[in-house]
Amino acid sequence: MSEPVAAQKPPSPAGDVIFRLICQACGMFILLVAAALLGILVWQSWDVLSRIGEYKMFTSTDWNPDQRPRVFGSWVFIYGTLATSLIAMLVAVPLGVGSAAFLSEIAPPWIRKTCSFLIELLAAIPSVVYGFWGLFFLTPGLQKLFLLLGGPPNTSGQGILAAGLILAIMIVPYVTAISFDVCRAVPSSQRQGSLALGATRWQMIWTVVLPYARPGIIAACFLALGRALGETMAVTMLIGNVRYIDFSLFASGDSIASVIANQLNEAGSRDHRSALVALGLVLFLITAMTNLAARFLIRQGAKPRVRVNRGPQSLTGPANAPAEFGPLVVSESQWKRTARENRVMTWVLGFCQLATVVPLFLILGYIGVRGASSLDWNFFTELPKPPGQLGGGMIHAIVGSGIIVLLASVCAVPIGVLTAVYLHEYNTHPLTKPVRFVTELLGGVPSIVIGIFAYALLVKPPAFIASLIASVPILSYLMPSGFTAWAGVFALGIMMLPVVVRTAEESMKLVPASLRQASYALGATQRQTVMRVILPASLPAITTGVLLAMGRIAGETAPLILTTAGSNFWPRSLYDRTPFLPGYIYEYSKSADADQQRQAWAAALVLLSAILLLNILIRVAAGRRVVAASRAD
Amino acid sequence: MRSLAFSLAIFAPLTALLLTSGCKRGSVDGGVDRLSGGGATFVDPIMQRWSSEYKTAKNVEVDYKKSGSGNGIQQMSGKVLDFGCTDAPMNKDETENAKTEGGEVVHVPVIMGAVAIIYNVPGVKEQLKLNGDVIAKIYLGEITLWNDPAIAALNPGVKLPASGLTPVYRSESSGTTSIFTEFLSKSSVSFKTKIGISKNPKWPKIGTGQNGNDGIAGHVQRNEGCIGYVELYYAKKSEMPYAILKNRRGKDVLPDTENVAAAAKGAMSETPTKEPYTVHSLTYSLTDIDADTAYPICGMSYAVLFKNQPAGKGKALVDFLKWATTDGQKFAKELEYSPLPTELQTKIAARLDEVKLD
Repeated sequence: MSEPVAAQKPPSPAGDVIFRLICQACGMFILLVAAALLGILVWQSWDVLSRIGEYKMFTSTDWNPDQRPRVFGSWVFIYGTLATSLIAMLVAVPLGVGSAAFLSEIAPPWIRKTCSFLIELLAAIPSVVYGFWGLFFLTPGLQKLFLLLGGPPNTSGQGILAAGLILAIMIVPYVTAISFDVCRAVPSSQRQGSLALGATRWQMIWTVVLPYARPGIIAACFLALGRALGETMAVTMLIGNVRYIDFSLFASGDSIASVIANQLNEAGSRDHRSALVALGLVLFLITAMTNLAARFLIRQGAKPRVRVNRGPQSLTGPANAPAEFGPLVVSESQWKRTARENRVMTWVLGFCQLATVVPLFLILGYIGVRGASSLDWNFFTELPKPPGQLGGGMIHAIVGSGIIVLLASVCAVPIGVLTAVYLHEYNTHPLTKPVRFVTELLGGVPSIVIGIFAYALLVKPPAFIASLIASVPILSYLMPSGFTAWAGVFALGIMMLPVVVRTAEESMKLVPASLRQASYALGATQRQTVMRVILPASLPAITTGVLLAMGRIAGETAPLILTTAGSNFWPRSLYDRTPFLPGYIYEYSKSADADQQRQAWAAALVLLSAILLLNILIRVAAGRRVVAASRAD
Repeated sequence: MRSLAFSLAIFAPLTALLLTSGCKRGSVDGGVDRLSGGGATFVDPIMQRWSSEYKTAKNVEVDYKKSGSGNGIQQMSGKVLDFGCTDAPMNKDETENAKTEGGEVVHVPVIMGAVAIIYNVPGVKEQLKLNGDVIAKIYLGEITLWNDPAIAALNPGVKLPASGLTPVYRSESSGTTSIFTEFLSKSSVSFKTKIGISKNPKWPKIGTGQNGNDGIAGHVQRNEGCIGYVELYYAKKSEMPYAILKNRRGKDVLPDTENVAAAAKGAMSETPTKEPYTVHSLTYSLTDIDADTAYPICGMSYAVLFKNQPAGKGKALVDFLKWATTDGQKFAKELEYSPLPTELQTKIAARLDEVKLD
């Protein structure tokens, strides 16, 4: 942008063709990954699926992998998954949408700025940290509550409710952040129009902003639901891990994701492993269905519109007022009622916002205090000490986590952004629709399912794939079987890909057409327009998306337990078991050993601080970009 | 073009990293300096100690990650790990499964220990006395309160509260669970028919599942009313009280290293008659042994490895196991384990010599 126009060479069409082909290849890569994912899930679960009656997969609550006859009734896990997600959605959706509306329409700029930053932080907190905090903060509180309510005397606060509540806290930022973005995207002409017609602020929110933003809000809810359904670590730490159904709210249970994380690595018999993969397939199908439903709903409301049929009267007067234009007659009592409603709802929305960010302070405060008193210099310089010897640290795990997350991002971001370019710029290509569809589907796939995929493809490849890999020298060099950092990078990269594609495409859509037209008018080719105008202008939003994605994968534990498996020594190569920090938080948080608990608090604090720092840095960088982009405009 | 160069710059370090890490791997396979193991949590404390000592002594890294016995068996069978550890010998299915993957499996006893019954009863700090029948009833859900007459009868003079009792068990496939259920099945016919011996049994509608010995210990420590079974080291670390059990001869015994040794002595004097102990040599059942001072829930942890080993790694593995089962035993007592008897150590060395290196 700083170069003088005269210095530019005439555009070469060859460069444009190559660029287009690269973008298309990235799109095809996503199709390939999704096909492989589905193929492996179906293939690996076929042993059980083909004899589903014999194993009573969907006709029993009895899960009995070790005794004969083997029975794999999965209702306990399906129930646990659905019940915890339902609780989470019931709490999170009203809170999230309410606080998004508050931030977008009511809050003064400084509150908006602060709160949206806090919500970003909340979204970046790793699942295992939520679980850890829940174990020490939430469940003791719930236990007291249960006893007060006369619950069963032998509960420990763990169970369906604890898991559901922690899920609610975890998905609220997703609902809020995306709902907020779509609320902000509502044109101000809509707001002004409604206010000019005499609407109060609440009426404007309720009748104009939220309906206009509805497709995006629904998409946000489904994204959040997908996360709740597939969430593993926090749930497995809090749900109680039992193999029976008890419909009480206080009861323990187990979820699909949790049982896979607990048992896949140790599944002895072929059919046990196959049954777990089949559960993964079930989870995949449930999340795919929520995604399809979301797409359907979005298409239903694709053309954002205000409900004009209500007429202007409904904004200030009772619904049965005559629907004719002319001077509006509003009685004083009606006006008072409307004004009161406006005040009350402003407070309610404000409360939603407060309830959304309070857990952040509880978590940061609790972990900050316990972590700070546990942290010492050794933590950053030493490897773990054997039991009985005090001290020791986790420098190896910090390094290992950093390597895995960075590599996954480095792999996923270029592919993701180029795919978004393909979807946005080359949308006449026949496969853009399938690619967009598959990307959305992939975005809803729970991390544990991607963990199964990486496990079945790279860690313990079935004979057919193993021989395929062995027959191609490069493949056998790049994809050795066993627990490797590479398998973890692969899993996390795939998790990140759809988020990058989605945010990149959404933010490219928001770039004003005038910028593009100006670029074309100056004689730029499509490639130049994309690289010089569209991408830089949408970079802040892309960065936020990448940040969210990195926050998500940095805390991922379950897929890494299945792929890199952790280590007590320095990361050695991409082809060795590799330590990662969240794994240690999980391992040490459950311990009864005071020294290990201390280490877990320290690890949680370090992980949180790293993510906090990342957030701030990227925010600063993105802020500068915003300035640059506005100057370009 | 600047942007294109930028994206190339992103890909370049990735490519470089892939290549360099690949090269590094090649050089590492020649001279083995790391063995990967995993499985039983029972053996983890001493395994970490061995790992640390062995690194200092021989500069070989033994990378052991605890994940449950079932896990250790499967990862070893799938050749994902160099060796696994389990507290329950591999059963027939597991042995068959391993055979198709890599042939015969060798079991090497590495350490012996006790499974302690820990509990968190409000107001009770003294050591409770329990027996197999009562514990079986607790895990069958037939005893649900701490002041149950069956518990009170064994503990005259102890003021037991009327609070609820939550049994805690393992959420993953566990050798410690196998030892525990073996003891309960020997003590209670009803337990044997309803639940039976298993690494991963189907518990009745009670209690909660936790991951690992450390998971049970932590959960019992944090939650009043809970009772759980953990290897003795974890019990001591949790600083929770643990029970005195009645052994087969009706004597009250504490879990400690001497009483484990007594059980082992009794166990090794007779030939095993039951699966899975008949399937593998050098495996023994240490539960409910008929001896005066024998603690009734003792177990042995085994390293499992394929009999056919690749030359470099196999040699390093055999060397480590020989060291652990001889010199390494001196760390047993400070970590609440019982060292292997000397005659067993000799048998283990002979067994390890049968491992074929190629």
